Amino acid sequence: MILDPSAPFRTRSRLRIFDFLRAKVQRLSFVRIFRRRRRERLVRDYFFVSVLLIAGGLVSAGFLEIYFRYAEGLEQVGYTQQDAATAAALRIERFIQDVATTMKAATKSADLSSSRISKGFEFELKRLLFLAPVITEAIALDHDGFIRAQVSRFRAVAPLVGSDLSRSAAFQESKLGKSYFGTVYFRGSDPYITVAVPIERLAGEVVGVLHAETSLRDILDVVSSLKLGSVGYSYVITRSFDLIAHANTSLVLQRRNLSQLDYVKAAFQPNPDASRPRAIVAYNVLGQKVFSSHALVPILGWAVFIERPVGEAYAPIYASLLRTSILLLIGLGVALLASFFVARRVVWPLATLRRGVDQIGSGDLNACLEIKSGDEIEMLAEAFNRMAANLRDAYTGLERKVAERTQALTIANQKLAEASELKSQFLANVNHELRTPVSAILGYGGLVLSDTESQISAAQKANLQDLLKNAERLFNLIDSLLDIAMIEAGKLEVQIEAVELEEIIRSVTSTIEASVDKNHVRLIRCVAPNLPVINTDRDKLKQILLNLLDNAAKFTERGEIRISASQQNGTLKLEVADTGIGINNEDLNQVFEEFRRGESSSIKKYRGTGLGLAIVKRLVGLLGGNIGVSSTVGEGSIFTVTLPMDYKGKRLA
Amino acid sequence: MLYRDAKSRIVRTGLPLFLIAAVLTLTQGFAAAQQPAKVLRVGIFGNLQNPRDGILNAFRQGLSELSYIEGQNIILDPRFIRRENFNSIAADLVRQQVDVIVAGSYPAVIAAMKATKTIPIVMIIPGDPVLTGFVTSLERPGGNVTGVSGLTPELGGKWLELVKETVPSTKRVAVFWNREAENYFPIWKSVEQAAHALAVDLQWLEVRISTDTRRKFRSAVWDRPDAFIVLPSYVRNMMQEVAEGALKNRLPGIFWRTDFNLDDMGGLMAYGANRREQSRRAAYVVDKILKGAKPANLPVELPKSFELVINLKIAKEIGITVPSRVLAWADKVIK
Repeated sequence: MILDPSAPFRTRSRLRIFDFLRAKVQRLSFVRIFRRRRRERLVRDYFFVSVLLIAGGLVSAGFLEIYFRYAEGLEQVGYTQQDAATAAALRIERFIQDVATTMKAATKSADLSSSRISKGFEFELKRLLFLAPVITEAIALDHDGFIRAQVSRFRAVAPLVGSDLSRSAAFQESKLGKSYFGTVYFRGSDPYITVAVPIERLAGEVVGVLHAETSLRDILDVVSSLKLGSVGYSYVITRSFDLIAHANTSLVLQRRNLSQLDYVKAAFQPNPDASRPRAIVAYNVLGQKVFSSHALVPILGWAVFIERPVGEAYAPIYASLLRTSILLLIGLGVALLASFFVARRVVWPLATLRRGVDQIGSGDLNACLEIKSGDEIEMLAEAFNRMAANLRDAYTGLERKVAERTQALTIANQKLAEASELKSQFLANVNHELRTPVSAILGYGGLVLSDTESQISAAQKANLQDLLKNAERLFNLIDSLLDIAMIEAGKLEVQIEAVELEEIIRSVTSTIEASVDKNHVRLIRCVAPNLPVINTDRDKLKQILLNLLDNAAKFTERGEIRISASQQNGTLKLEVADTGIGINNEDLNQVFEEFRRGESSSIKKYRGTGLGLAIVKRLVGLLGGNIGVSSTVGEGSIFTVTLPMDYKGKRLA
Repeated sequence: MLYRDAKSRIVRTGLPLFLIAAVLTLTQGFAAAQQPAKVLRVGIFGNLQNPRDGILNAFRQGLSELSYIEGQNIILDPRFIRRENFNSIAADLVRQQVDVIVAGSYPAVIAAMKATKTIPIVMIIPGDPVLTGFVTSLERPGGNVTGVSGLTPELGGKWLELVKETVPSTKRVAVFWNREAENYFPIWKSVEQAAHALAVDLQWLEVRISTDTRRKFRSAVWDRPDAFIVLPSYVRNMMQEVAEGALKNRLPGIFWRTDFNLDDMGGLMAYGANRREQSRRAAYVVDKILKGAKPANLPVELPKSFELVINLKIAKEIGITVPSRVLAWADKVIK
């Protein structure tokens, strides 16, 4: 994060917090799992498949559940409201029926003699007021509709006695033997209804009409105080849509008429359709959207409405839906968590297995998997551990065998070295024992020849010369063997001194000139100018060159022998090239080995011990250089020696 | 070892998810737990305590009719300590933040009105609340006071009728009245109408102040009335003095308040609102208020139920016989 030092501290700390949170989030293992490489997303894939399966199942089940709950909830709301409305309507009906029954009871008298209603009926009226507290006034009309007796709880009624009420609906209807229930009217804020029942002397014999002003306040109060939920309310309207009771008293006081509300009007229309919903959604008198249910009071022609604001009616349904949804979510969460856990349970042991395989792959055979999942994975891990143990055992056995073999080899080498040493010792001893007699033969043979040169025949002389020549060959052979033995026994010392190469080359070429057929072979010296003095062993260098030149002279019958010296890359390069018989490819590899000579018949005719080149190779090695050869049969050979210009090597073993 | 790493990772990943789920569950659990319904508190004081009257019990009955169960969804807090200052009771009820105050007498209503302008006050009073300035009108009280009143304007005629029924020979009736009261509550009209129908002459005796009563009674006697009625007024001791004068002059008469002790006072009869019924109705008013109605919009209820009290001791003393058709319907007879 780069911070601008001039940024306000708050910004910086906010950035720090942001970085901290981001790091935290990235460190959360489930975040990391979802950011894994393509090849390592088994957990994620498994997780997503589980999400798809579990979530799909749960969500579809949840939605079905929610749908049915919603439908049932609505039905339940309808039922509850309808039931409440019906109960209220029944209560009103029972109330008014009770009033009528009480009135009828008050008209009964033990005295059946008179069929006239007189002022004396006042007593019955007072009894009625006593029996029915809701009746505030009662009037007894005679057969013709005139007031014969009247009582009131709160006013003087004497002036009214004698009035004619024969045209009133109450009288007209009750005279026919039926109970009459009038329309609602108000006294102040109180609703009243006129109830009239026939006064019968005998059953069916109407002698007058009992007329009562009945207060509806109590019953309407009870009904309008019905409450559904916290804001549900109820109200009562008459057939002419006048509001006679409402939880909101001021609406009643305003004498509201609800004829403008269609659903209120519809309540009074006959509807044979039994499937009509128990609650409908409508806009009430105050313009609120409500759930409305109603029940009729047929005897009075009223309707009781129970309404609840839609929001409140739906609230329990919504609460239920919310509960279901949350439970669904929790279930989903738990299921996903479980699937996540299972996925990890499967995949982590796999990852552990993979790491174990990697460990063994990198050569660590001590890998051991500790998986205790108690399932196939654990079995797999155990099998893996067994395999690793077997590998470890096999590897350990192999190492032991290698060590044994190496030891055997070392012992064999030692024996070989000892044998070689013995051989060298033997050769040295033998050579020495051979060299002394042969040099005696040469010395004495030479004396005999020089002393008897003029006294012996030519044939004797030739024999004697043959003898000397062969003795010399033998002597040379012994010398060579001695050299080889000395070198191999490590007894040959290197004595470094400054050597002028040109002088050495001149010396060896003059030595070799004698054995070269001058008529047919040209001996060419080719020394690079300005060659510096080199530090090396003079005698050994001389012997190297002599042997190489002698070899060339031996196998070259015509053409040329060229010896050249040059400085190349800080080393001295000596080359002896001839135009002799050449060496075939098979023999090239062996020319530097002891007693090796070419197998071809052409070589066999030349004299030689097979030790010259072997000695050269060893001497070159002693002087810290290399020797190489290239040759073509019939064209000649080139021996190339490279030596250090300034050899500082100690005496070599 | 590796496997244990995996386990700790599961714990790290699983724990936050599990916690989220747990928090959701608990939140849901708390949300689902039903909120306890609020228990409503009603403070009651002022002249309602006499168990003989059963007024408080009538109030309780009214509440139970409306499905209130005392101690469960409603708590009544009656304060009837003798000699306690109404003002301090009212102030304490306001401090307790009761939902409604029920005041059973004029001083109680005045004290409650002084203590709060917001907590609804339900009054149970025998007289006219407009007159006393408790409400601006019976239909729309306008403030935080409503309740039940014991007066109805037509009652004047009923008194006259009762007097006439009790003493059928009555031709002349003295009416004690108070102009100030009449301005608010024109009860005299019903008295006059009834007098006309019953063929009774009225002798109007206006009482302005307390000391007028005796003087007026003396002048009434001068005119030889057969009986008297007392219209509502708030002149101190008026009823007491009328009763004493009536007894002295052996005059039958009727009083307008049944809760006055006729026996102590020496009155013959009284007809007025049934206080128990008023108290029961007060419970309905309280219910409406508790269900959210504003007192300002709740009409003051006038009485529908009345009671007749007859004091036979006085009848005997003044030498009249109460006819049985009157006596039969008396709610209370003092012998």
